[in-house]
Amino acid sequence: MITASFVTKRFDDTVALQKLNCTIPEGCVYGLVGSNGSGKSTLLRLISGIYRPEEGKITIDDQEVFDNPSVKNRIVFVPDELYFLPHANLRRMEQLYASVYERFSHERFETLLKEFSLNPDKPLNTFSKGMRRQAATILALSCRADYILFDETFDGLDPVMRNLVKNLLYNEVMERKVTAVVTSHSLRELEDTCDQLALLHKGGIIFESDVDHLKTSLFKVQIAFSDEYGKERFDGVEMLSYDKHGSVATMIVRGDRDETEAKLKALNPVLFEVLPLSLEEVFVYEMGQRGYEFSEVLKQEVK
Amino acid sequence: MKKLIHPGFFREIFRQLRAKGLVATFILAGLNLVFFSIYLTRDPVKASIGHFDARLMAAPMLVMLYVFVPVMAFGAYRWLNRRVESDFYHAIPLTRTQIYATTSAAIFLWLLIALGSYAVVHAILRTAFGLPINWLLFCCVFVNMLIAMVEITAAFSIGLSLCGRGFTAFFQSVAVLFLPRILLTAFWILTEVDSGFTLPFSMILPVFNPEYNIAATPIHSLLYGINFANPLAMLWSLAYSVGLLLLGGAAFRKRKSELAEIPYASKFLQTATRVMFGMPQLAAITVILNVWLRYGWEEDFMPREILIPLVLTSILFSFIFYCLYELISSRKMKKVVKAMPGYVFCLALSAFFIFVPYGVGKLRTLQPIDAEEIKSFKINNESTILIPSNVSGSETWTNYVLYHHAFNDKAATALIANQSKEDCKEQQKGDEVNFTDMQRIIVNKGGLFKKMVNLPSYSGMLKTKDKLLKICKNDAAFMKELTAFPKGQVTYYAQSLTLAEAREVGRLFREDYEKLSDEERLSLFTFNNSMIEMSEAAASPVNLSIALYGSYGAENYTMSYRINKMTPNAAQAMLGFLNARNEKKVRKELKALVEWMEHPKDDFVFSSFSVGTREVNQYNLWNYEDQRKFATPKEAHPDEYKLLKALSEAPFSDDPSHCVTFSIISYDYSSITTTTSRTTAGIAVDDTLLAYIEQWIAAYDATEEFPLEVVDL
Repeated sequence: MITASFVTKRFDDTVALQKLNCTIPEGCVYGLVGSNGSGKSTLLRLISGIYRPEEGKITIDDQEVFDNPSVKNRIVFVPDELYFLPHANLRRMEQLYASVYERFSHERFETLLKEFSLNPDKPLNTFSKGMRRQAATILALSCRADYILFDETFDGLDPVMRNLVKNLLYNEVMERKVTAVVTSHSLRELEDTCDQLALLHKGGIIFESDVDHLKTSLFKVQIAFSDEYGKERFDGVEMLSYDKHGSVATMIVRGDRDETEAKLKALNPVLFEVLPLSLEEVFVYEMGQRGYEFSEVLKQEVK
Repeated sequence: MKKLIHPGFFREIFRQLRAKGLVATFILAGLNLVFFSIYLTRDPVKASIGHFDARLMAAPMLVMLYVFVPVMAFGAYRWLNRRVESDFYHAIPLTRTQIYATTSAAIFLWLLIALGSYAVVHAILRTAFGLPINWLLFCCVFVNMLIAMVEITAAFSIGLSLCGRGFTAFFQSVAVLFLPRILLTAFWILTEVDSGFTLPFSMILPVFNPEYNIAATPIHSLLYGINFANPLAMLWSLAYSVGLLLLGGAAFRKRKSELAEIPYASKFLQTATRVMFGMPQLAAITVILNVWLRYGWEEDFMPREILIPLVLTSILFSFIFYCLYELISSRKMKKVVKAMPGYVFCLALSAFFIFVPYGVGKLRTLQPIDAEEIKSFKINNESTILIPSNVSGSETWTNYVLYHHAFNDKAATALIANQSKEDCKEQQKGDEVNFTDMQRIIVNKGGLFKKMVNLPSYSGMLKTKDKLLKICKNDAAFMKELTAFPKGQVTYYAQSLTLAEAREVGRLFREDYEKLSDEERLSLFTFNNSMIEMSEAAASPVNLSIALYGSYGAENYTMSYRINKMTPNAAQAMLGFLNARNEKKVRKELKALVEWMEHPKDDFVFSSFSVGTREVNQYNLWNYEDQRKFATPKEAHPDEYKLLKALSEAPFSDDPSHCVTFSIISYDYSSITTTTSRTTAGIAVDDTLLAYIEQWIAAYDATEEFPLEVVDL
């Protein structure tokens, strides 16, 4: 389990993370979403032991990460900007990784090579951006680490490769109970990948929740009655928003879906329809509830 | 060990440095050939009998260390200055100590390969050309270079750990390597300007001694006078280097990985480097004002119209450099303005170097030494360098013995104490004396405390010198050491002999020498550069000499001995070799000389000739006065004519008891400005002629005048 307790990280006069607290459980895909400069990459660098926090601490199973090889051996980090050794090919990278990561699996490496169809003897600097990311993924997954940190994971991957990486990630989580932390500035990217999602804004986590719970706890209802009605007719239903055009009212409701459906059907509506919400819509309403303007928090998402 | 140096990571870093390492190895090994070609072609004979030259070995190594250590360090730690690379390496599951130690080890191994190949090729080339190797000194030089390697690498590790950009890291590293030495040397020089009275700081504290920090030495004197075999200096340099390396490790551990692409880790460092840029230009002011403080203002020292613009220009230059450096490193004008307090610090540091050394110098010069305080003393016969140099090869064996003997005779210590008081009186009077060519006495007060006493005025020096000579002669242990045959590895050299012949003569000389008494041995010394001129030139009809080039321990020395009938076997062998080679030529020269004395002509001009130990100059036989009074040299100098005539008709002989050595230096007929080398041979003489010659030589010795002095053209 990764625990960040009151973590503060500054770069000169800029505060990247401010007293951040979070807990990332084992065996899940944890998504970190936030606009550029929100502190996603900084948090990953702190978790992977690249940075040392100015205040607070980052622990993995109660052990501090910074300058601690026994813990760092259980973590592998794939950054947004990839780096490979000068003039290296995958074989040379494999050698280095195998020498420093105690659990590095050559068999796994060979299997992944075949899956991605990459030539291990070709210099990495001749690879395309997508191929370089595939190479980095192969190396990361071959390390057999307990914690895999992906920064902007799917950047540069075509849809086929994107699915392949996602599937590999799921397998790791399912089979080896690996914890994957993935960041993205795109909520849509993480929507179908993560078990848990956290939203970072100005160096702090402002929202964190289970994705399934998020998706099922909020839903959109369209309802109409033959007579004139007002908002008060829905007393007892927790509404995050209410909008009425003509005789049709549209509501965002929080609560148990079946229970709410039964409650509303009992009112004998002439039109009743329950619509699923996209994760983005869920975030918009949840943020609104917490007093944040979603468009401010994830600028690139709302167009 | 694996905890410190990670094998896999080591392999990778070593591989990354491969190209640089191989280039360094080939260049360094190749430099041997270049240096050897120069060395051998300059003077092949001398090179083959000469000393093992520590500087010849060390200089290319140190130059290449200056070039390749930064190249290696920047190659191995390049990632520290690039954010993406820095993230990659810092994410690797190794401790920072492991990364630092492993990277340093990879750099060291490549440098070791380069330096090792150089040393091996150097040794092979010396052996191939038949040049002597002093293995102890060879190893000392190599170890010194290894220490320098550690120190320079450590300096660059510190610079790279403290900065996040190559430009600033480079200058920071240079500052770490040289700034302490520059400041200490400046302090040392400024406190020693006029104080020949006390021992320099350099001999009291290792930190002040430029020899004790081999990597930074070129700042001081380009290896001149460096004693590569000083164990204390090596230990000090090693401790200093290891200290720097550990400091580098600490800086590396403390370094924030986000420093990549940011010039400095702290404002203090930034200021320190700026100060380094601002200081050199202020040095002119420091020196000028220091001299002014010491000697008072004199118009003829430097006119005001030059001094004031000079001081202002220095300040302006230092200010411009200071700002320029700041502008290049920070790229912001605002930061240049913010950096101004650092410039004020530069000025304050200049003031420190103006007043503090002066004050310290004053304090140190006014302390005479009492006889009771003197545990022992050493006589240092070098002129300005206080430590015998094993580099230049000019140190004589007698000077070596003199320097390494600790005198502790009571009368002697009283003499030194008295001289010390005289020194202080002289200084209090404010008399300026030029001490540079004076001998110095180094007094040991026990432990690390030492003091230096000068022999200031020429007359004072002579008086004290005579007394010291007596002290030396009365010291039996010293005399025993002095007259013993030089120790260590010895090669022999004699003009006109081949190296094999010289070796044979040298071997016989040593056998003859061992049989002589101390007094007899002393009379064979030919040195005249020692303060203790105990050897009185013995008048002798046989006058030959042999030079020794030796290495003892890690030090080189030279020595020259007379060969005469006291060393009969060596004399006979040498005369045999010389006669076989020179008979025809000497006969011809002698006849020509006699002919010239009878009928002086312009087409035959000789420089000088000698019979036994008496040397006769051309002007001595036929000077302007003679030409006005006599028709020929024969008439002017009938005794010499008779002698030369007899010698020109006598047979040659190699029996030292019944022959005289005759040697002549004649001008090359084709060019009057070029003299030929001395040609010597042994000529047989009967008892009557021998007696006459001995009388003739003794008569000259009695006058105690050098023949040239009587000629006043």
